[in-house]
Amino acid sequence: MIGRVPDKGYCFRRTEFQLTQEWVADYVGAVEDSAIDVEVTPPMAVATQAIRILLSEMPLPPGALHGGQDLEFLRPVGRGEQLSLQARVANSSSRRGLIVIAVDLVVEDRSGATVMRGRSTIMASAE
Amino acid sequence: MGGIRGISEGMELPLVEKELTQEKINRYAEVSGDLNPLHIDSRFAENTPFGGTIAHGMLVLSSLSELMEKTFGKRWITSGRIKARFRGAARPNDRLATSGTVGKVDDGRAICHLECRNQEGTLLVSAEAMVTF
Repeated sequence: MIGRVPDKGYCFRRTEFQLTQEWVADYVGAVEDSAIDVEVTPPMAVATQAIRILLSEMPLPPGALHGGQDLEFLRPVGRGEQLSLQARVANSSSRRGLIVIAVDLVVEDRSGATVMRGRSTIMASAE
Repeated sequence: MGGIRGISEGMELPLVEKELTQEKINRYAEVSGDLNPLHIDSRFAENTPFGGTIAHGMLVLSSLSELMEKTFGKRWITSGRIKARFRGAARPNDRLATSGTVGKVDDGRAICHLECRNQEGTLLVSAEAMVTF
């Protein structure tokens, strides 16, 4: 993948995932979120897991940077809830040794309803 | 204008302050699965333009979400939107201050302008966040 930019429109395979109680607790501890209710999954935790999956599907060269992040939260996600991620390349470019890629993320619940969507913009050296 | 109790245009949002350490960055790397050496390998990071390790953008962004949670509670979780741009690198031992103001309140929504800066006042993240009622 180093130096190779996925084409605009490329769809990553749909991936199912679950935010376990244990992982959410680890996440809350790692970000030191003092505002979140113990019963609620922080919306950023959903985004973090979605991006984690994206990174596993789209390995980036060391030193890649997060340029921007758009997110929209549509409903609370329960701890232990089964979700799925669909990601699609919204835009990609390669110029002067720099790759810039924008990926749209849609997280759905078991019924197919969207619980979160967003766009991640990532920059990496093409070398 | 508005109709959102306790929220008015120009209002300052509660400050969220965090202290970054390499240990916290490493912990976030484990939880998030983002093991980019730029965040956790000082030898690698020293040879980049950053000159040292930096925090994950999503780790810093979590402070902005926390600010919105504190202000708007469940509304943030059920209707929140954020558009964030990473402007600068957050480093180990930085003290981060995330602040915001309510920009506009109308038609059942509040739009807020958020910033995260380090102890030197350097802008690290800027964002526009919105909730609906």
